[in-house]
Amino acid sequence: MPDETQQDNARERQARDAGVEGLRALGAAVQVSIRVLVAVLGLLLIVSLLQCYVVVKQHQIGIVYRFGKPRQELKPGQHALVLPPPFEEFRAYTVTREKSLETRAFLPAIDTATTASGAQLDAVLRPGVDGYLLTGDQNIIHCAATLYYWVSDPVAFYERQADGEKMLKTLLNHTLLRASGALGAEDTLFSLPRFAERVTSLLKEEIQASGLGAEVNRLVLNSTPPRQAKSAFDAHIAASQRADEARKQAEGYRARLANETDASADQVLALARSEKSELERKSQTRATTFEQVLVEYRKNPQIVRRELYMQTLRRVAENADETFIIEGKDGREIRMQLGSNPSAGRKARPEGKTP
Amino acid sequence: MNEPVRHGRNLWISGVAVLFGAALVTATCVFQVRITEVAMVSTLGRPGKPVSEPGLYGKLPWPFQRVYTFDKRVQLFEGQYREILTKDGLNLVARLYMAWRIEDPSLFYEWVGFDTADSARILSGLLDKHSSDVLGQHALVSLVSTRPQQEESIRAIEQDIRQRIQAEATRYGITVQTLGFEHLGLPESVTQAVFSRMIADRERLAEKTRSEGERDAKLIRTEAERLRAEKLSTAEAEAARIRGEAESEALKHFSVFEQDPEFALFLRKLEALEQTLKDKTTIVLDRDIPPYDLLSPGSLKDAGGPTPAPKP
Repeated sequence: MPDETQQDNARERQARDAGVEGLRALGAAVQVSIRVLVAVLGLLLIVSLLQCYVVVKQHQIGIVYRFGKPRQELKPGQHALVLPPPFEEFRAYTVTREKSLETRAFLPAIDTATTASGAQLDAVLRPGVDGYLLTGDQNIIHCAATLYYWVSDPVAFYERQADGEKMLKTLLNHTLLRASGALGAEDTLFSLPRFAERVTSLLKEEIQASGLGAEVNRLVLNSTPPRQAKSAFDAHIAASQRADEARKQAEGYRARLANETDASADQVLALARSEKSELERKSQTRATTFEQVLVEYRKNPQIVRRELYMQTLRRVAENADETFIIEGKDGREIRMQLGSNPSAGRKARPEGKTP
Repeated sequence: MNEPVRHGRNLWISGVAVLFGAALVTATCVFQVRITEVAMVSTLGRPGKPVSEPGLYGKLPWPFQRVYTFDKRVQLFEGQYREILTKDGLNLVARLYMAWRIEDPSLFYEWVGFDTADSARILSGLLDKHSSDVLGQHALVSLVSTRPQQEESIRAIEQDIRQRIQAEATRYGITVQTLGFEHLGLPESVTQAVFSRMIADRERLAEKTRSEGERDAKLIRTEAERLRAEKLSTAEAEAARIRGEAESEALKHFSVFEQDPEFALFLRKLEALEQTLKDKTTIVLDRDIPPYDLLSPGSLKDAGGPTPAPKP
């Protein structure tokens, strides 16, 4: 019995020792776990503190959110958050840089391989596959557009919209559809500035109404007629060009004729003025001469008359190309070269006549 | 290791553990609503009021209260291409879009849940139903037309569809912010007829443009010639007036001729004679006219000169 009692005591002591050892081991494990936890928490704290340092780039704007609420706007540069994440969050948005967005929703889905091979193109447009716009005069056109914009309100554009860019593209498509639906085909194809102006105006209204937080810089449109009717449009363009050319030529003729007319009218007036001066001068001279000669004439009218007559005849004969003196009875003719134009006389001399 | 050191360390570790525990408890009693979210707090499974303003809010820990957050940003929903019959019996292929957002998360959770596919299904159904109804009441010219009121007309149609959808969407906790056409076209078979019409129209326009150009050019030329004739006529009239003025002036000088009108006439004749025979003239004169009468045989005898030989 004593042996059994001793054995029991020994087992009991062993078990107590083992329990103590186990408790010690557990305590050590808990200590290690807590140390690991403290280390992790410390590491998280360091990471959080590092995240308090933020940089806003030149073309960006930074927004600090405290508990999800926009608290502060940060300009480009280095900044420190007051509280570490997750209490404060920082987001940087590109705002000052111009962004572009292209829509090809209204272009046909052309199989480039088919086009290159010269195969017959489809005679119809398939809804959902080929894009196009209906114009106000119920024609069909294709259009590609590139919108240049910038984000004026980053919170509205990036945080209040699930996808601001996609929304903007949808609004652009919508305004293209609305603007083309109010214009004729010719306006949308050949008056692109007018078309673009209308689309831009509508798009600005839509952006404003939806609070998208974007500003339109410019819009570039490229409209084309459908390939199925392109040759007819080309013929119309050619006819327009010919008509313009005809108008231009007529305008040129009008300008030239106006210049010529002005010159002719000026000439007529100048001639009339010149004749007026000449007539005035002559009448003055004639009156003066008459008065002077009249004195002598009254003294001896016959001599003065004869003298004046002879002088006049001399001047007439001198100026004449040829002068013929004829005698009526025997038909003889005397030809005389008088005046100062001998060449004319030589040329006009007929054969067989007595000089 | 001595007892005080061990005691101090245990105290520090206990402090950290308490802090950690306190942080965990706090985390279960507060929730944050971001700017992009709307939250709903349910108490013992009963939905409460929505929390749409961003910020930090308190709540009872689970299982007493539970927070559900939803995306409150504006979502874009694009409908399917659908063929719609207009009032004037024309088929149109239209595709509409909607910009929508969750307004009341309780209703949205109750009717839609968290599955976005369900919301798309609901929106698609509403869009199809109301777009068909509204477009069926309007003719094609209400949508595409060069009339000045076209823009107002299409805007009114879009507004009508939006309001009808909104009336039903409210019970799902959804607000439809904007709605519009993203595509408006014609059935495939109709496009070919449109192309034929477009070609015919362009040919007619080309002919019209050509004839207009020719007509305009002709008008311009005619007008130019009319202006020329008018200007020249005016100039001639002015010239005539100037000449008349000159003659009137000249007449003033002629009063001196009244002293001897016969001599004045003689002088005028001489002047006229000289003027009219000034250039390129061939004169034929009789030998009896002085001074050529000196060439007559008898004239020398009268003057006392030599007598010419008798004629054979």
